Amino acid sequence: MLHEVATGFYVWNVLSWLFIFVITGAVLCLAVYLSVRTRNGRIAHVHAASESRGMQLWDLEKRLRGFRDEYVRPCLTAPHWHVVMLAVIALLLFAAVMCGGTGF
Amino acid sequence: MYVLSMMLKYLCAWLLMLATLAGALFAEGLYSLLYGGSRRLSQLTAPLRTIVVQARKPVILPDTARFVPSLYGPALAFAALLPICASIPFCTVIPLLDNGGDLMQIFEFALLSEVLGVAAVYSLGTISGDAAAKRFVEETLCTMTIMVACFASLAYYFESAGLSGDPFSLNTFTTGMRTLSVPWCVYAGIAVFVFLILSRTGIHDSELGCAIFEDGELVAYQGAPRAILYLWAIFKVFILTALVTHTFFPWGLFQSASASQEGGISWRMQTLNFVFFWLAVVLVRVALVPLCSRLFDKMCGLLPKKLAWLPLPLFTVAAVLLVVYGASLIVIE
Repeated sequence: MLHEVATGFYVWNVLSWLFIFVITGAVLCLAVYLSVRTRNGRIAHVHAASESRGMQLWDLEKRLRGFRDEYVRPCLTAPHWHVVMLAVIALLLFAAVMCGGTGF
Repeated sequence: MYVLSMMLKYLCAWLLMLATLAGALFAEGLYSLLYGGSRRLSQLTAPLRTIVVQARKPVILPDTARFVPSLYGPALAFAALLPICASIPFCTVIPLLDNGGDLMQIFEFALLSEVLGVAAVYSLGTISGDAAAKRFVEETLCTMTIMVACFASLAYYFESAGLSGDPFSLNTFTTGMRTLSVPWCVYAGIAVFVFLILSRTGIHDSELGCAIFEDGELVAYQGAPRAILYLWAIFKVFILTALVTHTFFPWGLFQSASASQEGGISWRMQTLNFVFFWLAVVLVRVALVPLCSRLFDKMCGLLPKKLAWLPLPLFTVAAVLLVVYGASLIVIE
């Protein structure tokens, strides 16, 4: 693996994968953009106020607070919180070993 | 000259991906021909026609939607599937863009694709969009957990059996399945894994093939992004099916006799192998995927509602134990 990284083979390999992703993604995004532009000149809207959840995807602060209250606090106050923490650490270690093994 | 050869390589990669996409659409058409109400041959092109009709509609988004992710998310999710497609050797023994079909790279791009697909649906900002996104996440987690368990336990078995090679390489698994004598318990474990993976493809099989949304779900999301999302779902199931089939396909079936006679690789036999491989992928998609998914649903339906989650972890653990038992048999010997 080290030899591959040193010779640039692995980096080139990853780049070629990304190249395919980026080029295809760009072409498809352009197709969607043109489809939006050429139809009505603008995006049609459907009133969906009754379905609105009143919070947007990128409302990060609210989401993080919700995550903390809903998941993190119960874990830390639960009787077996150390087991949960151990599982999280094990998972992180596993991810680190996996990523390290492939040179990422 | 070098640039020209690289460009040719990329052109070949894209051509292969287009051929695979055509194969996925054909398999989907065959599915709707066999299971749909009509037996007319035009059903073969039904998925393609659905996509074209949907793509020609004006783009409609709910008022609550974030424009950028819900418009372009499906396109990027679909694009992230293509590198996976290039890493599965569909037509030659060597994948076009490979590091031996690295499983970690496949896993990472699959995850990226799922995240982009989920973000696109989630950013619609509606309650039904949230519910659909939550369903996608649950199904993805199930499929990926089973696949990680499958490949990790098989890698352990191959290592115990003395097979050298990169444990993250797809080719190591195909070589192992071809060259090693596998005990019954490992075969049983593999069968359970295949059953679980094919039953949890994340797609609801309807009469018209794979349906990413349930009937009447997200009607406020129309146009090209929805069409790409539908194509993404079809392609995703086909690639997953191909990945499983490629790993467990009996590759040596048409190779050994002629290879020994000619003292090298017989391209004619290899072509035959790949023709049968493509047929196997289509067959698995058309027959095994719906069979496994219906069997699994029936099995869950027999249990009380509170215990419906139980078969999946139970079967996964059983399959892992079977494969590990096979490895321990070798160690004891």
